[in-house]
Amino acid sequence: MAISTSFSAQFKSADPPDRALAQWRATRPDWLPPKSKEIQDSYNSVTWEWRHTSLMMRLVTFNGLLALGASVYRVTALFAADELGGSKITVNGMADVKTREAIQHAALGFEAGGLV
Amino acid sequence: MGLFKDMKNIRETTAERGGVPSLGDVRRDIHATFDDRGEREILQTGITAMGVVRGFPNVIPGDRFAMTIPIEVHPPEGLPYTIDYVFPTVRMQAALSAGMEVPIKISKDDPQRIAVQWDAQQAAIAAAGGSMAAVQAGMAKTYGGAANAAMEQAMQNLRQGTQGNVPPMTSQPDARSRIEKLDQLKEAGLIDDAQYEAKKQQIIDQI
Repeated sequence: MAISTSFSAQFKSADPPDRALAQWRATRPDWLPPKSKEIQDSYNSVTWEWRHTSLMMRLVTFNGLLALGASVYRVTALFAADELGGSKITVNGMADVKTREAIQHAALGFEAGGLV
Repeated sequence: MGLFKDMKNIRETTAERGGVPSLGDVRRDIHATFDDRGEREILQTGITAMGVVRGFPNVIPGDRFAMTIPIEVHPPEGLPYTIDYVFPTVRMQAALSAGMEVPIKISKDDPQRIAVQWDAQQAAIAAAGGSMAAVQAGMAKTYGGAANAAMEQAMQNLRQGTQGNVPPMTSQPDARSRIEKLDQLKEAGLIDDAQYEAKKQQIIDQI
């Protein structure tokens, strides 16, 4: 875990928040790593989590047998109503470089989109 | 040298906190620090709901590892109710301040027990534009413009090197709303002209 892994990005949807949330839960965004799992949902958000162990840490911890060395990443998508009857979606949390780049790429083109 | 200076700082800082604790105390402190007080179970099995913060985090006398804050719980069914939410300090991952709407889960066994969904709260704060913006929005919801006005006046006083004359922070609506309400009372015949004028002048004097 490091501060540099924190990020926030904005998306938009034409659907109202409850419908957009249901859609994101049913059809996970492409930028989520395949190994990520939904771990939490609230009235206006959903959170996914995944773990990553670098090659060096695998060597040091005997391929993770010591249950140490894994980075835990969590990303939350929060849905709020916008002024046009759609949704403003804030994606916030910590993610590995590859996922952050994928989120940034996906957020491009949205108003105020991109990583903050 | 850096290392010796660091060691000196560690020794002095430790001394300020009563010196090095015994191994037993360390074990008890570690246990208390990481005791989730049932929050993980509530997060996994609880009922999704919204809470509204009705105050500010406070320390709990005699409990160094938890804090408390009043939260108005809005269950999916039934009327809202207010509880004093006691949470392990180590789990706090985002700001909680008066007026904020927070995502929570309610224990299925005991509606008085809740757990804040900190990841979602972090996202809500990011969506609001950061901690300061989220806190100010919550304060505005709770106190109207009075909180910001008091803060701006205090900052102005500081810049001018003066003190005092900070408007009292109350939950009253702004002057226009209060005068409009006064007009309604007068039109309804609930107050006479003298009472109307006296009260109106009082409101104007407070601006």
